[in-house]
Amino acid sequence: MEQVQNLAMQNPAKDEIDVVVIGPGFGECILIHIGAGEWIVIDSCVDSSSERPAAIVYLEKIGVDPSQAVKLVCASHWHDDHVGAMAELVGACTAADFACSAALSRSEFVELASVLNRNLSLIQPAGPTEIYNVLNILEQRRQVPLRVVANLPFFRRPELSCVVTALSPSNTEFDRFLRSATALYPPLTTSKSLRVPDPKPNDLSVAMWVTIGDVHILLGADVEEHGDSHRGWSAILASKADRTRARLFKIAHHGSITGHHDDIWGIMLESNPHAVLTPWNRGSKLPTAADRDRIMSFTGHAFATSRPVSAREKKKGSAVDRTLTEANITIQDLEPPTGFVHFCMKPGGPTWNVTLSPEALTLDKYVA
Amino acid sequence: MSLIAAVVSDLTSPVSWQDEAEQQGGASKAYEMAVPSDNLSSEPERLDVTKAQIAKRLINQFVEGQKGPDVTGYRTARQEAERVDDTIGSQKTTKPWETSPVVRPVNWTRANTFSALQEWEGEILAVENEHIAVSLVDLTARKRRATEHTRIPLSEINEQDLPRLAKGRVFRWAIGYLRLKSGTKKRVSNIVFRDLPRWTQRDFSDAKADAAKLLRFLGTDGAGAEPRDAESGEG
Repeated sequence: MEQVQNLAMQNPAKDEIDVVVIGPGFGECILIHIGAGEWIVIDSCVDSSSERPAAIVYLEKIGVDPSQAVKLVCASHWHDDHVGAMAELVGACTAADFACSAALSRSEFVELASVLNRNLSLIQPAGPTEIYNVLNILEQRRQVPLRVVANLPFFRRPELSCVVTALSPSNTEFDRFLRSATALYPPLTTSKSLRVPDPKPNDLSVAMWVTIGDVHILLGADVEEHGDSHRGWSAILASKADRTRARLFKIAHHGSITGHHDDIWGIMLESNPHAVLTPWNRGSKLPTAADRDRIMSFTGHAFATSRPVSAREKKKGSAVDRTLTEANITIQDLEPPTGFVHFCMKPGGPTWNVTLSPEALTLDKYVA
Repeated sequence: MSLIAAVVSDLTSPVSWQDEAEQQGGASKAYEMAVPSDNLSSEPERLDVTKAQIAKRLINQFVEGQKGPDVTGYRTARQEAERVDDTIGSQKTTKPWETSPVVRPVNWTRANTFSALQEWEGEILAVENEHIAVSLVDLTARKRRATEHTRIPLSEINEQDLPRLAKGRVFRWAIGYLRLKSGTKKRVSNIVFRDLPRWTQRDFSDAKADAAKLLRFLGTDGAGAEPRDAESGEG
């Protein structure tokens, strides 16, 4: 296990590759410095202390202007935890292209998002509304999104030797989603007082292969395995033509067993790669202890962006607390402080330098 | 002749107006007062302040002339009251019943007010025997999503809302101070389940129309902006 330091946040050197994985226990955001002061951002989550996009908060802290430096914002899929404050992020990154699955600009999804956008309760699923708002921002800018399809590069920076290639969704998953979109509409004659159920399938999740020079990074998003050669990791593994291997893996689906495939570690990754996951701290928490042990069996360099925090009592002020106490009510705060793991590769360097924020930890210390 | 007609007749007679205006020492007009005319389809005549004063005097004269014998007893009682006032020493130059009634504005602030210390928007996760399990968005902290959970006793819910509790039901919860008109201050907790309209086909068709402009721009329907290739030409 390498020396892990506490993070001293600073702007990377022009020739360094920096990967920052942010995960507050609900949501994730990945920032990659591809060189020459240029950044790409994959997914978006809300910084728990400031309620702003975590990517913007991080970049501002290291003295980077997101309106100039960010060249690509990509939504791996449209679930709430991957697009938190995405519209605000896209609005701030005025020099960036926006990329998402091609299915999200199809009428099936856009009309669904328009319907859900009519019920603006904060408790409603926010994912479709965020994507809808992003598309409206792009429409005002007259900027068409980059439509991502499997096995095609969708972002290039030749002068930096940077290429970003989508690995999913497969055609089967694409079609499955479009056919199922109508089932996601709220049922007619149900009241708008009822929360629309969270849409479940991760069919549209975009796994990505990022190449910067001779460094390869695998971002697993929320891709799951179904045992179907036309879907999930089986489809990705079947279509991966070249034999290059990644040095860094953002573990899929919060480290869950459903996001696991042995051949990811055997075929797509170097031996003993660096790996990082963002925990899921709601409901059935992820990763479980079994997930942790499984991942540790493949690599000794595994990290988690935040700790498994059990719900803690939240105080609201004396008068409110008195009222709650009188009614025998205790408010539980589910959200730990936002943490992140920072990977830095210097030119010609053999391995990643890893630094952790105070909230992040090595996976062997993660007590599920 | 009705009162209004009599007054209008006096006021609109050019000779009488001119005489009265001269007696009042000339006219001038800070504003105009409209008097309805017999012809309802035409614009009412506009009279100046001097004429308004004259109208008031004429109306008072008419009213005095209409009073019967009961007025005598009323006036006697009033005179008695005046003598008492004079004895006390208050010098009233005008009596309240001799001036026009004064309309005082309503004091709208004298109503119950509520100032919230804490507000949440919540969703019912489960309905239990004596509690509801809920997730909460802290509106006071300007949170964007649900970050808190709790269990609320059913005793805290209004009776009329109990039959409507169901998983997925959205509500607002506010804790704060209620100030009554009397000045009493009370700390209250109020959970409100709003009955929002149901989803209709009209909602869906309106949403589809809203999305149409965006789809034309995206070129999804074969029109509008040309979609970019998946391979970006950047750099």
